[in-house]
Amino acid sequence: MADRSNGQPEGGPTSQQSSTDLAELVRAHHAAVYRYAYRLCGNATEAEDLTQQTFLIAVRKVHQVREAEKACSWLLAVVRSCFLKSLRKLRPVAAGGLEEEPEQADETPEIDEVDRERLSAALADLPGEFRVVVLMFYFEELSYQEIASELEIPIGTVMSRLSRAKGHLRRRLETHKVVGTLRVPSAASGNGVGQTPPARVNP
Amino acid sequence: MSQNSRYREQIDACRPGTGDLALPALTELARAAETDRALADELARSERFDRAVSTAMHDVPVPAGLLERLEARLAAADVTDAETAGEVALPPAVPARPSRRAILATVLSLAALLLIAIGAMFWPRPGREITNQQLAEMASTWNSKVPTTKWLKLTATSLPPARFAVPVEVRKPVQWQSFDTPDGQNGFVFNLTTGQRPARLYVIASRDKYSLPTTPYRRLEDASGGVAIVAWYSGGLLYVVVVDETGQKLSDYVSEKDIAAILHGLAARPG
Repeated sequence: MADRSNGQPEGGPTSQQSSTDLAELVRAHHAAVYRYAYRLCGNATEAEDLTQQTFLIAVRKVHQVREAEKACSWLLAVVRSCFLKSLRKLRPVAAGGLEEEPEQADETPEIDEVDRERLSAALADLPGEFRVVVLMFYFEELSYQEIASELEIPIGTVMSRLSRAKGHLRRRLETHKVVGTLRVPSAASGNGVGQTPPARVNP
Repeated sequence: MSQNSRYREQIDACRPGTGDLALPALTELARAAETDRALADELARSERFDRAVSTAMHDVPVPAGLLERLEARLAAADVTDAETAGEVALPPAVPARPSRRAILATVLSLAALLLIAIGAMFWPRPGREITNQQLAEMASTWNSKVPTTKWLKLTATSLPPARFAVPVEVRKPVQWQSFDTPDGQNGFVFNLTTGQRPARLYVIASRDKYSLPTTPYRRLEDASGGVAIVAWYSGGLLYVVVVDETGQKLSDYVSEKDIAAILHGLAARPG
């Protein structure tokens, strides 16, 4: 994974300086880190654990962040890294996924505002590898090139996963569309009246 | 295969409000969109979709007390790490290191104060109904409160978050800075000119309700003092352009939708 930190400062920091930097880092960025962790994990308990893990790593490496404005992006990269490690521990990373999704819609629906709960349900249905890519796009605001470099996967794979994940979001967030009835209800979904909640898609 | 299908992956790879159309894998899309109105419209729709999704992505309530729990856990970890590593990183004049109990007691005593502050920060404020007259007055006030010494130059590495990016209908800004409105809403202000007379774009995250279109723009008739104010509201973001029309025109800085012409200029923007 590409190193997005700024390298070791010369001479190293004092413990008091690191302590102050870390306290400031936590105060300034704990909310952003938690929000990203929540979107990655899909639930508050795991998100808080992931947030804690991130700052415990930051304790050891905070001196690597030289520029304050890059601290947040560095922390988000750490969150993502921790999440991916936990994902690999649970099961092998599998390519593909979303095979059961219907053919990709060509047109983007005109959506002015997105329902938060509907978005959570849509994200929960994405396999981890697709969810990470789409969250790197929206949360870390990385380009497809940067995502490919960070994840060490081909650009074509990134563009394919991103497009399929966004197609999934488009279908789920389009309010007038009725979700297909072929799926088992998912614990994470909370769709509107008259709709059959979709199943979690297994990779 | 429709044009949209053919270019679907490229459209989806394009981040809103960036120079991504100049990236290698997307130049074909940029060229095609200059002449294909339907493709340009789809690109614009995708950009609006991305902004709306990005706003919702970040809309996650932070649990009460999270900061205190983190600080307590880190304080405990700090003491444990120092003990297990045998580190004594204190200069000679500093008194003995406080005990874990003392550290936790201090953190917990601050927790009560922090809980009140965090509650005030994160408790969702119900949206207000804002009339266009009120918005015009607010925008005039904002203009007088923007610090002139805190502008940042827009570069590839100095940018606000993408969801606050400048829409294609607005002239490319030269400077930016974060901006908090007097009533506590957060966002950014962009300087559209370094000339004598200001022209600025405000992009503010807002839950209030406005009588505004979702695409540029509506002129606020209650603006005064030779200032033109236009606004629109989309994806949880309020966009307000304030232009001092002495020696310049509103249309120098913002236009209504003309995607094909604007995309041509977008493709030439640096990434």
